Amino acid sequence: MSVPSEVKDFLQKEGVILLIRGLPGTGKTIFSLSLMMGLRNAAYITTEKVAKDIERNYPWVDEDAKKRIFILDGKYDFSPSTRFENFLYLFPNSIRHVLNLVEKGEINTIILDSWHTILQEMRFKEIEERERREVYNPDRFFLNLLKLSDMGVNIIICKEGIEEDDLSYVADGVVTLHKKVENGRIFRGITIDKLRGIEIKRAEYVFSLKDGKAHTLLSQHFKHPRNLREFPVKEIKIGRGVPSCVFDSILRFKRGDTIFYDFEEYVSKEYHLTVIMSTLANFLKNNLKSIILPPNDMDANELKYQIYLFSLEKELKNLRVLYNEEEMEEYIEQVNMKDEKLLEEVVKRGLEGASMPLFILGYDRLHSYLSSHEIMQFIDFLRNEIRKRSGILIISGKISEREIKRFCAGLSDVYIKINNVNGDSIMYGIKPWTHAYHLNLTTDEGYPKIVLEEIT
Amino acid sequence: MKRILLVDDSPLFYNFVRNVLKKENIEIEWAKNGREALRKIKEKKPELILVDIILSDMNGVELIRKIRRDWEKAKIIVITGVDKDYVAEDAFEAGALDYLVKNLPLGEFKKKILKYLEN
Repeated sequence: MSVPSEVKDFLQKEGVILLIRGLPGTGKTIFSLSLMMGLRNAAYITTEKVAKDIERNYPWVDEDAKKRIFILDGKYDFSPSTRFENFLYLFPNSIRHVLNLVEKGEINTIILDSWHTILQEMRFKEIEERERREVYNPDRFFLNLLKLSDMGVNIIICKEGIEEDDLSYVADGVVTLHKKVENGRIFRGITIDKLRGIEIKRAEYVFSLKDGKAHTLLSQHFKHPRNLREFPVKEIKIGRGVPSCVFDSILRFKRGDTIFYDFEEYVSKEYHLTVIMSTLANFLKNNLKSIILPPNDMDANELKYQIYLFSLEKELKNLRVLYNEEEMEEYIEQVNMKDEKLLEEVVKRGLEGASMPLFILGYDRLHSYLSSHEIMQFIDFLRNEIRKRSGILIISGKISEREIKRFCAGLSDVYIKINNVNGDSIMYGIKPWTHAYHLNLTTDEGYPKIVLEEIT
Repeated sequence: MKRILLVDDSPLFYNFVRNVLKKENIEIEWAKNGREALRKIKEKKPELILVDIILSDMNGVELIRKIRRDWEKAKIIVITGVDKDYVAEDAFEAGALDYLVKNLPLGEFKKKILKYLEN
């Protein structure tokens, strides 16, 4: 979706003023161009400089849309209007022309980009005094626009800056675009401040300007697949790197790698499980031995459900879970005795004879039974065992103990952070460096799949 | 004597079901996977079939569909540890009469089995 559904619904009304505001570089022009493309009956009024910029930088704006871009100060034909009468003459030429189109029913929304540049042009235009007073006076222009909206025309105004002013008080709807830089990655957001008469289901959305287009991103909730389908296998070949089945478009694992998925506590369980289960499913379907010490998100029932979702019934012979309904108690007793050597024995036995095993460690589960120091010792042991066998170790869990997280971050070959930003899941790689991506979980193909969209 | 087929890969659960129903004059047949179940249904013609969702060769829903295709009137109940509405919906759609989760109290489990055997 290019713009939030609430904004789309709001613009279906008649005679509303929408203010799009934001600091420079937040994407106001791209956002309003996306609105124009989506609305089909909107005219875009801007300065010559911005119009040239659109021509150069946004090739996705098609010819039909380009015909609806007008330069504020350009020379356009217009004819007298019965609907707007003398009011028509209180606007510059370009808007008079557009109002003729409104009268014909071809246009019902006027987008002004941007408020400050348009007002600046008005101030410095060389014209006679009467015209300056009636048409090119910024205060007068503002009031005329209000009257125009009263007459049923929708007005969208892009404005630099985020301060509250007359415009934000008068407008029926206000959206603010913003960006922040975290660890060298840009995160963009849209906040819906008000939309009169529309129920705001969600006040903030993640927003991307990939390929110069506006994308509003929304992490969907998990839906059980309508028809279960087999999880597609990606062959694991020696020397080719190991597919993660989630982040393959960005990175590949090497044999012997330790991967640390650093999940923030608030990332939803379904995203957490799909990220680790996809890799596990592929290992099992490649007939490779896998051991899993499930993270806290995955109890025995959840694990069974995941096996069902990923159609792994036929591959269970290669899976060793360090608990199942019966083993769980026995296992907890073992670790309660603080005999971590016993746990290491269980792991060694599990890895016996496996040439390229996958070990998934939910370190948060261990956290209930072992001290941080013991967990770190165990992780170190695991890493060495997996390296010996050229396998893959995935460390994952959702606790916020800094000491363990820093240890795993330092020890890992691949370090991926997955955060929750206002209900959306966002990831980026620290080792190796990657852009930030928005994650979306879909089951449309019959199994859980994470779709990545770059945020730029 | 009435006959039940239990399709579940866990010997523990087989023993549990046997113990619960031993005084009820019911014969319990056991199949560890889907293929074995299909063979035993053909041979033993059980009055009631109890199916787990996670089996070693196919999932329980798939098995129910296969049973329904050949034995339209078979009485099938799911008895599983997978406590998910979505899976239950899949199972009902495939033709299960009931969906029981393994943590069901013992008495209730027994009552349900007897009810389905009588009807």
